[in-house]
Amino acid sequence: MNHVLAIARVTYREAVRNRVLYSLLFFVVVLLLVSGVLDSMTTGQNGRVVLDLGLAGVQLFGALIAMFLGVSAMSREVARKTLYVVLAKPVGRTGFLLGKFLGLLATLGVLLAAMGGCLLLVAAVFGAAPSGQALLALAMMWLELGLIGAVALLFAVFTGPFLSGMFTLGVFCIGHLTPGLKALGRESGDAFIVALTQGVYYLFPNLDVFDFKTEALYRLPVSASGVGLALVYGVAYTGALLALAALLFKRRDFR
Amino acid sequence: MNTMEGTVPIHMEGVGKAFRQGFWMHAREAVRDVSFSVPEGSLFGYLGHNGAGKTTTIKMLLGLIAPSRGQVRVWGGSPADPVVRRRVGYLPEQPYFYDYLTAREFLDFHADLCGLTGDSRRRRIALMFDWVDLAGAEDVALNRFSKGMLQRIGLAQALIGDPELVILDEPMSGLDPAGRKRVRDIMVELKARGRTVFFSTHVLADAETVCDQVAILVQGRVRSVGPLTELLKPKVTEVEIVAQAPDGYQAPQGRVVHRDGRLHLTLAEADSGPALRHLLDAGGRVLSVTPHRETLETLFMNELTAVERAG
Repeated sequence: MNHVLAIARVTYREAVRNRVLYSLLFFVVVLLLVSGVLDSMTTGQNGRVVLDLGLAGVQLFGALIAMFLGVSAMSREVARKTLYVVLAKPVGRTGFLLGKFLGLLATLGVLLAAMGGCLLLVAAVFGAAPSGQALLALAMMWLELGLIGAVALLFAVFTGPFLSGMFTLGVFCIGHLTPGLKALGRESGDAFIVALTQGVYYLFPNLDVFDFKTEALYRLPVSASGVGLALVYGVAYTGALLALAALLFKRRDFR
Repeated sequence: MNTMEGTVPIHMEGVGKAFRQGFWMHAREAVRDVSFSVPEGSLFGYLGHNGAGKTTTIKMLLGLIAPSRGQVRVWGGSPADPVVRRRVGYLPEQPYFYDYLTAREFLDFHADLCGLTGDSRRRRIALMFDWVDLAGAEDVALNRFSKGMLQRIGLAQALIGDPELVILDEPMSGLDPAGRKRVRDIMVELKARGRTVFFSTHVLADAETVCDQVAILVQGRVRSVGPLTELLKPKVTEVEIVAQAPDGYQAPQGRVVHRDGRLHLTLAEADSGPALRHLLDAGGRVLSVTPHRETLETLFMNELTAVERAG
């Protein structure tokens, strides 16, 4: 386990020294400031516009960061051949992959805390005091970003960085459309379309289960079953993705 | 695990590796038929020209590449097993390291990977910095290191876990004469401490200086393998006789050069006896008889030529 944590630490260290990350964070800060301006132009919202735009922005930029870091965490290792000396040590490939993922998860956690902290601060300035629902929405976002990071790692194990990024972006988009697709299939009444949309629904992750933005925005009561389901679903799906990635990674030759 | 096999650092038998490449995924054999064993405690040179398959072989020894056929055994086990790799240290040909880390962070990381803890870990890291002459550069980021410094920190990471088998891929590549000597000295020191050193090179002079055993790889096939003394010793190619010969002396055979008033006669070993008798009978005085043995370079070139003629 020591070597897994060592790899996680190095992955985290590499990620936080990446300048691309800071340019993405800069955009989040700009978005928060713009949402503040919009909020002040809207009567009776009291920070709700900041919270609404801010949570959506944090989710979008967080997903982009998760894709970027997930792909680069593996692709850079392969392209720059830095993993050779690591895999030549008494480190199993599954352990290496797990270390990469934990480092990625830690980086995403820190970034999310930074972005979420800024968001809650700006929202509070405009009148929306931090709520438990907002914190929960951010925590569930972390789970979603972890899953996206695992998708990126899976693709990066067997293909190049551009395709990995594109595939992960595709999964992110489809993941937010699958409940709608399933409903659409049911509406069509056609057995083939029903089977197809159901197949897509079960194959791709349903990222909407991690979405607690509405609860945060309107301070709605949160159901424990909803949180529990998201937690179990996120952990199980991410675990399955990592297991598949490990299986492919074990079979790979490093020329 | 066979007990005897367990004491052999490296054993390869009938190993081949083909890579699929191009649009039609044609197979290209990088390594065709590699069989050799590396005895414990030896300093083993793996020789071959660029593209002969040396790095592919080394990657199979580390479990980075799976062989297409044949058997690769390291300390009697599969190199894909992390437990086996606990006894192995590796330096790649190019210094592919996390260059955003400082030298200390880098060695700390590799000490973690080798499972080192506590005081022994601190001592080992300090020892490595001393050993590779990098004391004082501990807090410098690797992206500010010169090629020679990178090679030395690479050696330090390979040796941090005190491995019994050290595999070095072209360890002297791109180094200045002082750097090459330091690496050679480290290899000799490792052997003196009972470690097995396996290194690849295409610089034959490096191998001839330090190796006690070699394998010669030509176009993916091992052509000669064994102790350097056995591979080269029996092959006395020519004999050079230096003598003071009477005026007008005509040697019956061989190449004759007159230099500094002396006769230098170079001829085949089998002809040297009659030639010496002829010289003495003519009243000459023999100053020296030097057998010219086959060098590693001539052996290597002969193997290469033989393969090219056959192919």
